[in-house]
Amino acid sequence: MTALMVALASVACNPDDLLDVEDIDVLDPSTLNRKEALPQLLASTLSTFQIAYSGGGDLSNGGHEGMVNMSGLLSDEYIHAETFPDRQGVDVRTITPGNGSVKGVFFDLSQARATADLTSDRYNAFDPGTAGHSEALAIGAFSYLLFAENFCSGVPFSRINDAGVVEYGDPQTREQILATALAKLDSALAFATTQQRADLANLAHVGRGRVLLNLGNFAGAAAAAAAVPTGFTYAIESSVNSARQNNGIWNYTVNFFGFSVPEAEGGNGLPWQSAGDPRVPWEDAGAPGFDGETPFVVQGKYPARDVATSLATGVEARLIEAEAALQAGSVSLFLGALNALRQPIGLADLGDPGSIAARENLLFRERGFWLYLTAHRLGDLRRLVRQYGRAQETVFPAGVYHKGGEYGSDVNFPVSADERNNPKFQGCIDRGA
Amino acid sequence: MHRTFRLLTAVGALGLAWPAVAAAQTGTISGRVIDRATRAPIPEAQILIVGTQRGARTDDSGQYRLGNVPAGTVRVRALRLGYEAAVTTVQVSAGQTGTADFALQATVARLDEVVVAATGEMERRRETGNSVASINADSVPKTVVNNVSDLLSSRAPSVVVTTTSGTTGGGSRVRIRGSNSVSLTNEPIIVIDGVRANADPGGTTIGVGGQNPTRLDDLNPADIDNIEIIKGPAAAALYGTAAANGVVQITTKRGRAGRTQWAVYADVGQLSEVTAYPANYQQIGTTPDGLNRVSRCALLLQGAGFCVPMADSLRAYNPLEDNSVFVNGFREQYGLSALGGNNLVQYYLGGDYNREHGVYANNQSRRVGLRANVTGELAPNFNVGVRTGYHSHRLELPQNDNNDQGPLGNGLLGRDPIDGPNGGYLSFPKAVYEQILTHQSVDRLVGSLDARWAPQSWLTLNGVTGLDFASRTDQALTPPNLIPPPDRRATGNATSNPYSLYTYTTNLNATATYRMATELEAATSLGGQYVGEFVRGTQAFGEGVAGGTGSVGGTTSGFAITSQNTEVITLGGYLQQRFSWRDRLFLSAALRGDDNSAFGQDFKFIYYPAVSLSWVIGEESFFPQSDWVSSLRLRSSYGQSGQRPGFRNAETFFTAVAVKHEGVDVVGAALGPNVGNPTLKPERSAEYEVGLDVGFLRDRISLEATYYDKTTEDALIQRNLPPSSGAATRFENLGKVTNTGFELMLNAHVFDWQDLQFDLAVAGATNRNRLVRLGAGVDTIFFGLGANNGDFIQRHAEGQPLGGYWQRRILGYEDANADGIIGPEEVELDDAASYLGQPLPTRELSVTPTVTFLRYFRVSGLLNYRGGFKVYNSTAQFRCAVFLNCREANDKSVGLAEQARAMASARANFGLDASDAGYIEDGSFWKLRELSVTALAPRRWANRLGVSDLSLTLSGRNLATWTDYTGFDPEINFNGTSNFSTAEFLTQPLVRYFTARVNIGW
Repeated sequence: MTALMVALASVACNPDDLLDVEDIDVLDPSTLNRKEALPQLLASTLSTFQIAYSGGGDLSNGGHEGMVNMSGLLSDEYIHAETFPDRQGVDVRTITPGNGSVKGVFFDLSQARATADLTSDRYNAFDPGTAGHSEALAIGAFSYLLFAENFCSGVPFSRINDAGVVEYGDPQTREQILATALAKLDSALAFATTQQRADLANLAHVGRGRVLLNLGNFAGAAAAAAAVPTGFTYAIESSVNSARQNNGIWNYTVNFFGFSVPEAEGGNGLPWQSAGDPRVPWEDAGAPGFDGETPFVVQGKYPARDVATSLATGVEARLIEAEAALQAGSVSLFLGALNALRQPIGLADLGDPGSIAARENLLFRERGFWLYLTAHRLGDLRRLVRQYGRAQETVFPAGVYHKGGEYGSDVNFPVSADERNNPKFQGCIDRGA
Repeated sequence: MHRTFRLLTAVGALGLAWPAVAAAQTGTISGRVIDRATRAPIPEAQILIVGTQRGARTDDSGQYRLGNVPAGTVRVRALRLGYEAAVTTVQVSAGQTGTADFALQATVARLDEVVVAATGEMERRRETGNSVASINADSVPKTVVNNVSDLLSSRAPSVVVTTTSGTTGGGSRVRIRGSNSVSLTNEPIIVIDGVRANADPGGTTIGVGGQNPTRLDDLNPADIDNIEIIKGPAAAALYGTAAANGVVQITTKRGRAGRTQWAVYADVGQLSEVTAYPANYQQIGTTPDGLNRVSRCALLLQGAGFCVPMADSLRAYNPLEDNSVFVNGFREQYGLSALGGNNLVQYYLGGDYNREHGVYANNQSRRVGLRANVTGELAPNFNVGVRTGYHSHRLELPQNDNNDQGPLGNGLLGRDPIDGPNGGYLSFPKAVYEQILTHQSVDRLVGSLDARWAPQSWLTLNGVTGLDFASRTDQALTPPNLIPPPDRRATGNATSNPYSLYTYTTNLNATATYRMATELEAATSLGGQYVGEFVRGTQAFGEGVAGGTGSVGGTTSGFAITSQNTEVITLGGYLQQRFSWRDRLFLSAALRGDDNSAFGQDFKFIYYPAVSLSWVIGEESFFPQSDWVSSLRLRSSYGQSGQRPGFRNAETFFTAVAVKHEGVDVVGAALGPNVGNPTLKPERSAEYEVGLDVGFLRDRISLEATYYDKTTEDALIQRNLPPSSGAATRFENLGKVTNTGFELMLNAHVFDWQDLQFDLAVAGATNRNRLVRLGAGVDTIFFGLGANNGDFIQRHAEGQPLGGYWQRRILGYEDANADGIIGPEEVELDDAASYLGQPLPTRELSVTPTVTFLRYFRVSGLLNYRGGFKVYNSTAQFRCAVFLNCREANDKSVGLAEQARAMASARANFGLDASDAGYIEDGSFWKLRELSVTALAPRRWANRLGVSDLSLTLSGRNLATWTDYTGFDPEINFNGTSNFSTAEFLTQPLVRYFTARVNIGW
């Protein structure tokens, strides 16, 4: 009884003691708000970007398909060979803002962008101008770039401030988004140069070239890319360590027969199979996809779960230069740049196809094969419409869909319907190319 | 808040420390209680000294003894379920024994039935203004119930228990008076012998596609004496921050004074898969140019001009019938119990073994239960009880539902074996499924220590402290080389997730009773409660299983390890004041206050008031005496209760994530799915109810009618944040949800002839659920199965029931080109989605007739109706509109209406708006859930065998269903016990049970 009395008296004096609980499984935000946490924050940036870019192997948050898979599905890099209707909606180019897979990839890319911005802010506060700062800025810039290339114009960028309050973002036009990316890459380049980190400088160079290409500044793009050696690669790495770290492209094509390599999808697509091109290896699975119907062709570029996915390469830098040469009317430089890339892997030199349109086709075909499944193709198809004056029905898959019905007319992803919780957001500004 | 706690605890401590002043002048009361008609002794009758909490129970000879009674004139009340209460006056002299005998009249009226109040004290129904449902476990033949969920199902108004599949070991949804919460659980809390119990409806960490066990079903129904269901805040205010969804209060069996009574039972039976599964159809065709073969030239593809069928190419194959994965299920159950004791110590000891094998080779459940309940009288004014139950549960669950490894899904989505290597199954041949193993092992101890001390005749202190501890290990194994490469599962994988689950409860209460005037009695109660809920778990997964081992330790790659540690603590205190006028008019008012570790840091304390009025007007002198209306009570109550946020709901946090950088795996952190809210507080549900209890024809018929109106304010909404913020959700107190309804409970002793008796129980209820407000700036919440380009099938939308089904309506269809096929343009859909119905029943009616004939035979049944709800028949939608293998997708002779609903769903393939409205079907049904026949051996026969009781019961469960629903069963759900997500999707339908049981007592 005495013990009970003592216990009761103790509680009466300080009941909060009884309400104290421990939470050992997660990190309090305050633990990340210090200099020592910067490497961890940088890893956070890379981890969230991996999920957003090459996807993951777990199935949370709608599947973590990643931008490479989703943009490949909307363009001609994949056909749908499974049963999930939302992803079929992407393949058939009929995408509503409520599309569950789009919601997933929009969220993943937003989280990557927000994490990169947070990391940059923390570097700015505790260790500005370092290599980590440069890398965080560059990854953030690529997040903005992927929004610009793959989503409609009008993507907002909100943030959670340190007090946990949502600061709602205004919708940004594509040009505004690209300008933000460029500014970040400028800073990233400056820091990388100061720190003498050539790899990070090259990452920023390629990023700047890609942004400027999207803005139609071909000469500027070529200038940005010029310093990058052809052998350069900055890759987003995957790992067998956990399902989250698995390569999401492998997951949806090898582990799960979801997305198949097509042959000239919708009439306008590239002949990935018949080209027999070593840059796009594939294999007939000898079985249908998960839908039990579509003959399945497995991509061979990412044959294992831990294969890395290129984000920026010296090859892309040369392609940017080739495009700038074509824009400048220098066919020999254009072809020379393309052939210089082909020769080391044993591909025959390309001849001049003779017309401007044919040269453009050749350029984008080469870009397609070199950059297959790296989240470039959708942006390229849009540029063909926007910058080269092609009709969208001549570059995107069109006509009869392989599961019946007709292709729709979407050329990008809408902003997720969940963004309606942002009072400043009223829908895409422009869903055109 | 802190001051309040100090006051409560200090007063409580003072009460406990009150010096036990021995009554100098006391005597004893003893007597016997018998049935007035049969003169048979009545065991387990409660004897109470009127105006106090002092009491005793009769032994198996009907005798009782009540010591330490203050000398003087004492009024004594005898109570027993099924009998009218009786009161007598006895003169107690110091050191002497007074006698008070009772002859009780049988009745179906329940005015004086005793229930357990939140204070831990006993109270009669007439004393409370709210309805409390009560299920006497012994009144339900054990052969027809497999678990506690079955025991609860369809026996009390507004208690809707939905068995979500026919999987052995699968769980059930429990909803009482509708759903209150948008984002938190809607399951009631479970209290076992005064101790909060773990009743996690999602009681596993390994997904098998949708189904999951619930911890409620760990318990052995044979150990249960009684279940009381406190339905909502009007009655549950004193249960505090957790009880908004109601309280299921389980009282286990206890001993009683008298000789030891043994009981043994043996029960065997079979489970049958009785669903008629449809065949898979396939039409072969060619492309319109005739150049290429199309192996799935379904009608909608023909209608769209995509293919041309080949003559006589329609094929059908039914793998689930012709190459079946099902096995014959069986059940066996054995139990032994003993109860007895003397006036000082009583005991109940019980043990049971239960094994059930489901209709899949890898689906079985084994339960072992042991119980020891001991109650004793340490002093005439001091009683203690120790109640312990050990439960061992070993469960194997099959894969099914939304799962590519499920045999049912692979069978229903398969194709003619000519076109595939899997014997008609979609992805894997039938031998694969039974080799994918999922085990759950639970060892659980629920124990409590309770005490009651009456230091003064007017003061009673009671308390209970206890623990519900479960050691649970979930394990799964996919053997290597079972699933062909390149699938990641080809190398096999193993999972081992050991968890420890702790729920601690301590309740303390002091009640003082006193007489304020000659006919006015009062009782004041003061109490406090501590509830701590702790989870400690680790999850380990690995791939690359070494042959011959099922251990995670034998895996070689793909490792994933995580831990889950959660702690939630509730501290509460209450004050209750009750008045009783002439034992006819009862008024009580109460206030409870709570603090909780899961509240936001800026929110500290919440109060829940309650008031209750009960008037037994039928006993008033002015009330006309009549055989037609023999008793009448009017009642009303109002109360509030709450529901706490979940662990971490109020916090912003980051979770550790790994990433490979420059060739090395390093650790980063990702923002958790939820952004914190420092002002987060519990949901507050307020409810009032009014009702009446009427006895007709000398109480041969009793009727309880209740209307309730419940409003949940500050409803916690897990609102979607704009994803552009990089954060997913935040819990906010924004919403408002209402539930209203009527309840009816009729018990009738219809006739009682010498060789034929007929009793009837009817329980009915309605529920009207509405989401009144979701919150400013919160967009409609979409969820459920995704379909049609993100137009999810269910929504939480303002002005409609929670979780309602929404789709574009099918306005019409016409075979305009008269080709016998509905093409994509030949179905007309509405422009926008509209509300089509809700997934949970709004009307329920249960009819339980019992016929006893020739004294030794008893037949009882349970016929149950549920209506006013819809079910998304996603199985049919998936087969007809996605896999195109149902008959109506391939056979023109089936009819245009069926084609139209498939085409409406498949129109997205043709760049058109689509709708699954045709597959959202009326789920109303009647079910013959239970039927049993019991033969009681005449006592002389039993005696010849050396026993006192002998009976044989034959019974069946899930015997018949009548419904317009075209799927397998309108009750099942692909997502198990999920809060709202509801559909039939490749889910195992309920199976039929036939069992036989022998009961022997001596």
